[in-house]
Amino acid sequence: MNDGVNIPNGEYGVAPENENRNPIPRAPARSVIDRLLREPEEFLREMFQPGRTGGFLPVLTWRIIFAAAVFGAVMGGFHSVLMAGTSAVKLPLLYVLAVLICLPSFYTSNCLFGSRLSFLQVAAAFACATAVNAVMLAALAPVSLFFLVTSGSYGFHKLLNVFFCAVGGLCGIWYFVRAMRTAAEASGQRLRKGVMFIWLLLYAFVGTQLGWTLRPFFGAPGQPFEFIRKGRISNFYENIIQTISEPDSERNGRDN
Amino acid sequence: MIAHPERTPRPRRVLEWIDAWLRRPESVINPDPGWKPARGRIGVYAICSVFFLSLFGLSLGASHSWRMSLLSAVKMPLLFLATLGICLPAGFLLNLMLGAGFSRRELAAVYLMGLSLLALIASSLSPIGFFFALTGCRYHFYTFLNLGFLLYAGWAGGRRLLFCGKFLTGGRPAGRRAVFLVLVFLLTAFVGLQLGWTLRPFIGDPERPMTWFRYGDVDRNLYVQQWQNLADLLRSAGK
Repeated sequence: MNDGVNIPNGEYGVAPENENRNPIPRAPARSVIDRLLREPEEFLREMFQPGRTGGFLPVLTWRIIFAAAVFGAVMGGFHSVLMAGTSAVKLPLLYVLAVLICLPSFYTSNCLFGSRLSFLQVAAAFACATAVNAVMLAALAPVSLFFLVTSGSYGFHKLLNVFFCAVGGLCGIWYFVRAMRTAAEASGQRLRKGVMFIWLLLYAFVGTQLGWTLRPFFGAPGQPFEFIRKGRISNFYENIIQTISEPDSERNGRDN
Repeated sequence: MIAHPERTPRPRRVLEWIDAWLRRPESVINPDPGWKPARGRIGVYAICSVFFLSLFGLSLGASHSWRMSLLSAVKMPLLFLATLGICLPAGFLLNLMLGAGFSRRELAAVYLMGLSLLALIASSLSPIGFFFALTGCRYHFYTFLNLGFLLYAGWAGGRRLLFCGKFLTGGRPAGRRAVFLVLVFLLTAFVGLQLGWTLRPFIGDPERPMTWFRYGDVDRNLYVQQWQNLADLLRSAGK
């Protein structure tokens, strides 16, 4: 490594000319995110090769867990250290569980509309998108931390972090579309945009409800610490409908 | 398409078969026009249907209690297989009249092929059902969610039924076969909906105790009941 001879292909963005183009037997842990961000098409093509996909999944999953935990800790940091710790556990759980719940139906729907992607390929496309989402959030965590230390406004902290989550989510969607397109091209097909769009709506539907179930992530100051909000387990969508129909009801205030 | 069936372990072979049945159905159905489905082949589709419908049944009852889950897991395959039994004679007669050219066994095979896909699609949606059942939602929300799942799975199953019909009974006019299969699908849906109404509850209102079957509160005939609902609605609108 010190004389530059043994650098794996593409690890630092420069591929030595005399090396084989695909010399890596399984995903090298260090360079996965770097390559995914720097040269996504090449990385994705390599990942979608038959027999290679499975090797990338554990590596990407650990990146998702670690990156989401970093942002989760900053999210809960406004309330207390305990809340920071629990949010660091809950946010990765939210991302991983939402994908696991939606994955089987997305796979079968894709098959139904003529896609030839395997289950592992679909899972890997998701893992890439979620990894980009989580890494984006981890990269924004110092900004959030800076405002947390300097401003001290709960409302601002909450809005800023929700905005960051939206930014991370959009980046994730962008990479998801790229991953699906690459996977479709690798199997000689066109991208099924309609199925993908409907599935993203379904994913958002489940993700919102899961986030609602796992709340609080921020923890309002003055409120005692809670791991999961106690009381009636409620449905996000029912709560929204209730809020619209009875805006001043006592129950809405309590549930939010 | 399934490589080395004798060397691959059985669970892996099953997963490969499911994957092939979802992604490349033409590789699973024998494209030979003169193919006569053997008993074993029909059995595979039947087992697949029963297993995955049970899985979906588990998620249906999950919002009520585990006992309702188990009950729905038994009732769901029963509902679809009983519908097959009820519709097969009429379907076969229709088949002869329209000259679609299916044998009884082929008809059962095509029906089970469509049903197995319906079961697979419905059970792939069951994690979402389980999730909403466990995180808490109202009875009506859960009913509509699962109704949506079943309609989607039913549409997928109907499409597969038509697709598989194309591969069987070579030499017969394709138009007649398609008309016949659409009629069989409509007949099955008509009978299946009433049988589902008879075998209810599947989901179970959480505020009511668990029962095996529910009678007495509404009409036993789904269509009469819905007609009365519509009449009540129009009457109340006219006032």
